[in-house]
Amino acid sequence: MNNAFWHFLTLQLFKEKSKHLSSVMISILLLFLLSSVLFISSSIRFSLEETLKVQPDFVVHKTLGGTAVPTPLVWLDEIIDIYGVSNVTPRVYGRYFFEAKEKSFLIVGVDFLEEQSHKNLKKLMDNTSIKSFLKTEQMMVGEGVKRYLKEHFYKNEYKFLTPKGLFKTVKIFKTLPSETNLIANDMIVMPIDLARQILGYSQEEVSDIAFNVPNPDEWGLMNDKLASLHYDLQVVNKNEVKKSYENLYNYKGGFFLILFLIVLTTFTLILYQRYSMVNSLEQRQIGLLRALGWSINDVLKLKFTETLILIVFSYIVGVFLAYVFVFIFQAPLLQEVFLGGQNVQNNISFIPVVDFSVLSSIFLLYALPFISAVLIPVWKIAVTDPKEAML
Amino acid sequence: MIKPFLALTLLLMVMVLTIMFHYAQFPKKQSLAPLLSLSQLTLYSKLSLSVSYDEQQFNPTYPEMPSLRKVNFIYE
Repeated sequence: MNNAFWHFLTLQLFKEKSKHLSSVMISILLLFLLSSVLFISSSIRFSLEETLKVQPDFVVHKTLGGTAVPTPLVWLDEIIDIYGVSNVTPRVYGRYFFEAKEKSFLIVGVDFLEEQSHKNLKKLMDNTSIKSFLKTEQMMVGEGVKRYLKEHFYKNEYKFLTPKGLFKTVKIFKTLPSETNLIANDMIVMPIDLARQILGYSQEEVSDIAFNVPNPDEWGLMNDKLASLHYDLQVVNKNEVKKSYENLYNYKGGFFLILFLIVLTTFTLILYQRYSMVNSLEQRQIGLLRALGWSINDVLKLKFTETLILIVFSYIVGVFLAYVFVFIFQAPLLQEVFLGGQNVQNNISFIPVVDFSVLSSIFLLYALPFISAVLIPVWKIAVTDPKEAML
Repeated sequence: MIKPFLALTLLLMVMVLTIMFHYAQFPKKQSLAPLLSLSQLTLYSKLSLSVSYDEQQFNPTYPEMPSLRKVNFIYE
């Protein structure tokens, strides 16, 4: 391709910019929406998968009629006795509903007397003194909880109503870092015994029991061993949780489906538009080029390059806008589609994660129909007699 | 090649380079560290979804009917 060709091509492209404007704008909008959704889902999935790596391998809990019920603490000793099991930890957590029953928080009890918890707390908040935290009944709250309590005039403490009908005043010790909002926006972290009292667990009960099995080859066997302990015991391993996370965002509803349908419909419209446009002005233009001595190949090359430039331009602008929207402005409005907005408002910061394979598939999905929608009618005209084409 | 086209190409290149620079420079590990520490502390890593419909098991108006706010058909 020589300079004259490029000069003619770019000159024509800018001269007829109003003709291309509508298709470029629609393409940018579609690519922006699709890429934004993709960026958000890959970022959330990445963060969740990273947190999953530090999670216990197995969790067991008691079920009754298919619903989880408090797990007896004695099961802990039975699990410890199984060969190949390590870090067996009881967990106490549950949702606490406000009187209006409209908003709820997640209360998580932590055994702060354990050395590992000290270390983790130190890692989480550098200047936290465990002694001052355990001095009275205190809690650490997520940003969403803090904001909600403040709006309802609970600036320093909150009075929890226990299932026994007693009020329990708990002071707010600190707010959890905003980087943890993805899992801790509606979370309240407090000592395990306090959590038991507020959620109504007895001293002999826990929500579930978590533990590790360092040898992954034993995981299958471990499922059977645990299932044989009790008939009403349910086992969940890390792989199952991982799968559920993948499903959550792979299928994220009809949302992706609707977006793809919009994309396909628009491309069909673009196809239709191109077909109808090619019959009038463009037909005459192609005939003129052919009459001036351009070969069919030259005409196709011109139209192909022109379309490719439009495609690359729309694609880069669409993806760039999506990147800025998601990773710099933190996807306002669209964030709620993924995280919801009915309970405590969540504002998370997305960690940039770009899935290049999906981005390239989007490019192909978008580029191929676009190019074919232009080249097929152009080729049909180019092969006809120039005189006929100009009529 | 005409000048406006060159300017446009330059603009696109700036866009791509900006994304690449931001992506490469973003402190991923530092941003993830508090999340991982909290996850290790609480042994809990479920997503903090702001969805009351997920929690509402019962239909308060028609108790014999399933909850209207459940969105299992989306999540499962």
